[in-house]
Amino acid sequence: MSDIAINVKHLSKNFHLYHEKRASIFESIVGFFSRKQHYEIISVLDDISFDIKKGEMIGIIGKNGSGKTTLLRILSNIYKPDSGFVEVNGTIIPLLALGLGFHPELTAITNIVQSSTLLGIPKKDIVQKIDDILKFAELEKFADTKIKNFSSGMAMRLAFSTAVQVDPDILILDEVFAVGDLNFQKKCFDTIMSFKKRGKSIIFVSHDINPIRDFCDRAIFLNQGKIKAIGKPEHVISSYLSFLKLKKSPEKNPENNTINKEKNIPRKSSPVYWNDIIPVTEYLNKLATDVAKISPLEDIVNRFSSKLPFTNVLLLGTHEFKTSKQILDLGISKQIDVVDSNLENITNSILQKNFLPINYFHKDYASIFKLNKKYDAIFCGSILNFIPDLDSFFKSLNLMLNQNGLIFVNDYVGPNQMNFSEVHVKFLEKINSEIPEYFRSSSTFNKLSDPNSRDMISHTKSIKEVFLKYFNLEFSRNLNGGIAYPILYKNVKKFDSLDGIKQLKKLLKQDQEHSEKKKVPILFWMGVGRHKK
Amino acid sequence: MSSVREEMWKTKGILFSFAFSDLKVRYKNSILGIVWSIIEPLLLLGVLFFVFSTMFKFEIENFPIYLLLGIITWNFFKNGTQLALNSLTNRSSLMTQIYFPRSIPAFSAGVTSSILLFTELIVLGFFMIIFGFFPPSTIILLIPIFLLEFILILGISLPLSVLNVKFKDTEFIWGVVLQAGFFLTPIFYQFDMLPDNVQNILQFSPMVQIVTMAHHVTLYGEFPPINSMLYALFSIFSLTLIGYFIFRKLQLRIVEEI
Repeated sequence: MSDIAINVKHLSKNFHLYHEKRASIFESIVGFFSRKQHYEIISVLDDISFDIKKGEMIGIIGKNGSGKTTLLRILSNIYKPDSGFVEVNGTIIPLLALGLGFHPELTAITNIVQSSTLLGIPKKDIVQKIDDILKFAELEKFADTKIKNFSSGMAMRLAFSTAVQVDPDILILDEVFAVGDLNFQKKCFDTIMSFKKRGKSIIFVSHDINPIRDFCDRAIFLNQGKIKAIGKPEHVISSYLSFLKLKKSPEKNPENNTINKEKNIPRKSSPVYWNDIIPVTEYLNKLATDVAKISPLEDIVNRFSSKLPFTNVLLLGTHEFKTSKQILDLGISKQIDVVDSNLENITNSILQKNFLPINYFHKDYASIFKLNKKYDAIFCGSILNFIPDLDSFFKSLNLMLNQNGLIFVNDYVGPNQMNFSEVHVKFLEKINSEIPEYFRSSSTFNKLSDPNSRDMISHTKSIKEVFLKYFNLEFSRNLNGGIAYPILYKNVKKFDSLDGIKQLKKLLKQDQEHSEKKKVPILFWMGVGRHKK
Repeated sequence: MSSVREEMWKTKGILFSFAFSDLKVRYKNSILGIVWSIIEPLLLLGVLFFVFSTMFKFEIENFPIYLLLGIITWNFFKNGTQLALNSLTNRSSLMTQIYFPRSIPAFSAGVTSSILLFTELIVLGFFMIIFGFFPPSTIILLIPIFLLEFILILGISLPLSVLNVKFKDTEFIWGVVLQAGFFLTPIFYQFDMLPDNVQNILQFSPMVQIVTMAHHVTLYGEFPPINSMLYALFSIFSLTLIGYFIFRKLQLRIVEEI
């Protein structure tokens, strides 16, 4: 047996786009005699070739209408290709559009059996696995409930767990995680990883770039039915992003999934995300009570209103998508350059309409310095701890600041993240056990427990000293908080339900009490500085 | 090759799984469930019997059994094609998610209607006992007749199922055809009662021939007339062939039409 799971050669597929769909025989007869061509042939896939090896996980990205779903459907044998050929070695299970073809009027168990039969699993085999499937999906209580009474998340869970229990050689996952809760998402990813280890292939389609970068071996970027890029996820993602950036016509695709997906995240008009502990609590309060107090950025607006608006602003940070939006919304500046370490934020921002005055750079701090631009204001989010040479960093920033420009700095300064005491680590682990999904993507926590993966440089307390070397201090304050705050608030948007928020509030409170008792030192420092000769 | 066997096995599994879910969905939320498949023809029988034996004074030997046999034979056809008509449209979401041969739903509709036929035949048996009618040995020929009807159902179901996806009005047209067919088939009358020129046209209807043959083997203890057999074979064969070609052509892009 070869080690190729799927081989696709010169695959093309056209669709008939009906301008005036003849849905009735009468219309069809009239149309036939009028001899007008009533449809247009559009090419959905155009000469696609690639292969997938056994044990490989491949991610497919692309805008809506780029041909992703069509490709998956051809691989699943649902559509017939117009030309080219597809070779599939082994059983393939497609999880398309959140289902496995469940019938709404049938119960969970009946559907498991029917879908498995359709997938070619003998009934007697599947009957033995029903309990496992329901258990994995956490739906034991709903065994005899009709699918029409399931939520979309429940149906997805049932479909996913049926698919993995059937144990195919190739698994196709199309946006399956758009609905499931975080707990189940983690479970899914664990399962997928164990699948991969056993030499199974996975095709993963998602609008969320992060899992593709984190989990896939290779990625494909599809655009208008053609492969624009294929190879290492990092490269493919960046070519996707630069493509999105070039294409400044957001109106063309009004229903973009990325934006739809964001509906899950409660986003009130102007919550604050600048790195401060207060905004997190504020944000939570606002979600709970709908009343917001003043935020640090608003604080800045008040304090420095005489200088506003700035003509141009540089924002450096991680996850600064919302901050950049707020800078625009609050009228702090009309033009922003953003350097963000987080790709997803950049994509989100680019996909979001009305974001044209922002220029984005990914992680590339050096290129910013080379621009030789001068800024009225520089905002530094929590990136300082990621910069190896803080001295030259601040020095360069100082050169980029106008004569009367202001720099706003806000970062974690307290206890060195790599030197957490035993007690602290224990406490974090306790939180971790309560909400494991929360920490899955939290690199900070991984660093705490795994000394080998500590890529973050710790300046902690020295940030203030270095800052004072290059800037005149205008105003500063220390922000105290609990030990888990920096981790908890960073992922605040993930708590996207009221229950989640309640849970987070509880944890934050516990954390604060804990820290007060143990006398945890200052955690954050916020400073406003002025250009120094 | 074992893979061919596997494919056959798989298809068989799907076929029965569909037939099973068809039955389940058909009688969902109903208290009597499958009993309806018996009550329905009995009610029809009651009405027809009342109308034609007391009002029109038809003099047909063993009229209740004649009627019931006709209704059952017709119902087999009606149920089979009607179930098949919506078998693909009802599974539109399934078709976009999992591959299965497009002919399976039409086949499974045939299986479902066969199950219904079976329950109705049991009722017919009871009727024969009640009316003290002892069937002749030729009744065994009902089996090949129903098999022939099964082929007819498939031959019509296959194109109907795909046509209904493409053209929504197939359903309404087929409703009218069935309605007309019920009256143009010798269910509550005898074929000879019709004027000659009407007979000349209607003899090409496969259902006319099937019902006639069923009556012959069950009630009169005769082999079906050779004419009937030839007409039936000819019309069923040609309908099935045409149906199959329509199906083959349309099924290719059927998922895209949904």
